[in-house]
Amino acid sequence: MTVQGDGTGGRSGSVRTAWVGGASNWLLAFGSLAFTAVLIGLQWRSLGPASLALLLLPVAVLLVSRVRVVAGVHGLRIGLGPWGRPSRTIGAEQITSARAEAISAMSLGGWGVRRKGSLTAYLVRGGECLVVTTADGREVAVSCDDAARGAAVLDGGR
Amino acid sequence: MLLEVDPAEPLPLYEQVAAGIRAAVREGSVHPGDRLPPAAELAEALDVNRHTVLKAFHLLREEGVLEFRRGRGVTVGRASAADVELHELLRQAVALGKRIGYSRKELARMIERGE
Repeated sequence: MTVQGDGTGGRSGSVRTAWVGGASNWLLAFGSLAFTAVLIGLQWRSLGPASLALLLLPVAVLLVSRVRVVAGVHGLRIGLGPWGRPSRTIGAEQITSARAEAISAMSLGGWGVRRKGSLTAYLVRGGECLVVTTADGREVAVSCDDAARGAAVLDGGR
Repeated sequence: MLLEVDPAEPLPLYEQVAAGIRAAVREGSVHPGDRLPPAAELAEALDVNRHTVLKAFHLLREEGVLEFRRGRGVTVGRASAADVELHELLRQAVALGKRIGYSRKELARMIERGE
């Protein structure tokens, strides 16, 4: 059974509300940069294609060290990493409900892009998450400080 | 950071966006050095034109609330909270002055004379 979102989250009469939030894990970010520094230090003399491939690892860690969330009339945009890209948008018409929930990294097997059943989670740290339920019955969670405010914007039309 | 726009309000949309960002800086829901989302993302969330958000960004850059930094995009300026407060006070002073008959020039003179 699928429930169609009415896509009115973020809009109330003529007023449009947007919320910008997110979360970051400075330990992951710092660790990633420290790792890169060590890598460059060790490989400096012999910087070849293999070494450059190793740099992909700290970049990957950087991408999951912070996440930015923009909630509004368009739905929800989730941007990974310090540059906000790659990003994923869940359209307003796809969102049937939104809530704040605490999710531990342990329960999903760690940080990063995690999947468990019908849940996809973008975790940069354990703890507070913004969770949206989509029309196909799946759920998307994203680490988010003050997630209740974001949920209120997305759920506002209901 | 919570932003609200209402086309039914008399204040231009870009001023509403700017006011929302100023409020967020004042309240501390964004901090100096924080990167703002690109104008396009705020625009889609608020269902306004991208140029409306850009205009707000430029206004806030003039006020020192935001900084444009190559490679980092639009960030909240370092001295921001105090700048925001100052601009807010100036706005209120101008509004009050207008109500009781002082022009901006007269207010400026008063400030220079140290009143």
